[in-house]
Amino acid sequence: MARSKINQSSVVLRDALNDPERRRWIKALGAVPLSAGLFSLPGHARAAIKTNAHIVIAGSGLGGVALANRLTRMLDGVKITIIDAKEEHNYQPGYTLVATGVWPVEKVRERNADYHPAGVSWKKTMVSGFDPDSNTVTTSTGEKIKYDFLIVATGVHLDYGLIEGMDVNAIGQNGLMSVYPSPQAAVATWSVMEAFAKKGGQALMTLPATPLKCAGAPLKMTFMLRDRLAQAGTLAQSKIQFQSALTNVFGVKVVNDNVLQRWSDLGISVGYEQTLKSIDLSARTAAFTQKSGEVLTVPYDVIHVVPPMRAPDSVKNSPLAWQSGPMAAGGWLEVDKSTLQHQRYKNVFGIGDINGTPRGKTAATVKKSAPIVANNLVKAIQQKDSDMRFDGYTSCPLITREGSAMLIEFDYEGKLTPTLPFIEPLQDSYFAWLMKYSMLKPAYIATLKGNV
Amino acid sequence: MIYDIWLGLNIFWEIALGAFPIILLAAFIWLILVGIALSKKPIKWCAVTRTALIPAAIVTVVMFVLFPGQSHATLADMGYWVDWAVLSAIALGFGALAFLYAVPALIIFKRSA
Repeated sequence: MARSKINQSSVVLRDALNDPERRRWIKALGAVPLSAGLFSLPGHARAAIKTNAHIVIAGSGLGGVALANRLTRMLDGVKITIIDAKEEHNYQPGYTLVATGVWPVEKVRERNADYHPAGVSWKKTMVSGFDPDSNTVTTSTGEKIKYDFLIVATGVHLDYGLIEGMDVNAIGQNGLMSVYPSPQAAVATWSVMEAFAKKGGQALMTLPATPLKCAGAPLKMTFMLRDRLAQAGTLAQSKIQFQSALTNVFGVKVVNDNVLQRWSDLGISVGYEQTLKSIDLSARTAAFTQKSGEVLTVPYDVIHVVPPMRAPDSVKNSPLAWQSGPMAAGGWLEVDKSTLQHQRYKNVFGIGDINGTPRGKTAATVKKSAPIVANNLVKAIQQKDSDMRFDGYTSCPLITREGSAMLIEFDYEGKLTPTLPFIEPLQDSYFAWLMKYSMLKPAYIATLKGNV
Repeated sequence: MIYDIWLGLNIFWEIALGAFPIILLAAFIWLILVGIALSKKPIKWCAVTRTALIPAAIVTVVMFVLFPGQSHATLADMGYWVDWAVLSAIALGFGALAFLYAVPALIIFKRSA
């Protein structure tokens, strides 16, 4: 009898291990135990509020899905529609690890369907226009969808088109690297970096003047390229030149100064107010517009292109965008930086990279702001004022070499706000690397599920 | 602070979910070992636990040396006291696991010998 039970258990275990649907089952399991008993833990409603409101969420990146999960739990009877054509969900903070040969690409590829809450309607198309005066969005298929409340979570538009001669499809060829567009681009970037490290040469790293998502990525790529050259023993015959379109390389002064000191020690040169104007992929030359207006052409063996970024056309060309001020040129969403509620359309909220706020286009920003947006939207449904404030928290595990990183956290004012006060933010450490390597994706998934 | 503890718990939960089959298999093997050990005649637990400390110590030392390599790092990357503390805690965790397996395994071995 006992042997029979052991055999049965073995069969169940073997089947579980071999089940091709196991992964999805485990994910479903993952959503249950920690989310079902959340009680009074941070960011979770104590009792669902009854409503028949229709909430449209434009975009199913981290912000969109995290809010869909939270609002489904917080609101009873709510109708939620997510609009996004993308079936694949990419863990974008992992792109730098893929592009530098640390992670396999599979680690940044997930499925959106695995994380959407039950009961939401998913329109697999894109929003082509917003008409907040009539509470309507138009999709790329021409469908008009009315809403009571709108969450804009579209992310950014990578404006490679502003660089003459640039071809995203050419990433991975002729020494062209760019970590931003996709997992495939990250893989192609690593193939270029790996080949370059074997022989060395002239490397150009660029930085545009626009707000950036993951503004640390260009710095991480630079640190890691230098480290790969050192590992391959080709540093002596190599030169790395970082070309910034700004007067700095990072927006937080204390971090900027620290990075520049490190680069000085590592032999990485920096040029300022050098805007990448055009690129000749076959000749391997890049032209930079300088402050004086003159154009300087620089030859390279490899180049890492960081595209200018702005709001997608659907937001930029709508009344939702900033109409004046520093965020107007990029067409960023006009939200109050504290409540993340639209300044003029009170039934509209923004989350993530699309927000026209002073800082913060990272997954960490979404992690901290999703509970605030969910709370303030529920207050709006109850016709109450927003009562939670966002301080602009963001974080950047700034890789300094393979095996070491700095865990930088800061707020809107650029003030360092370390979560673990006993850890010096500007001290590079294995601990920060381990966070980046092993712990931040689980934190991201927990955010996606609306659990943290 | 409560939020950070909650975040930490969620991180470990998600990591555990990623290794779910391995954890399930390891727990199953441990339960079988404990079940068999408990079915044997009682022996001096003190002696067994003392002996079990030897494989536990070996695993701790081995993991202390090898764990950084599992995360694309080396011991040379430990440049901050926090690094040594974290690495020690991880190695001790693996050592404790080894101890938990070694105790029932030693009981079975000693009674069978």
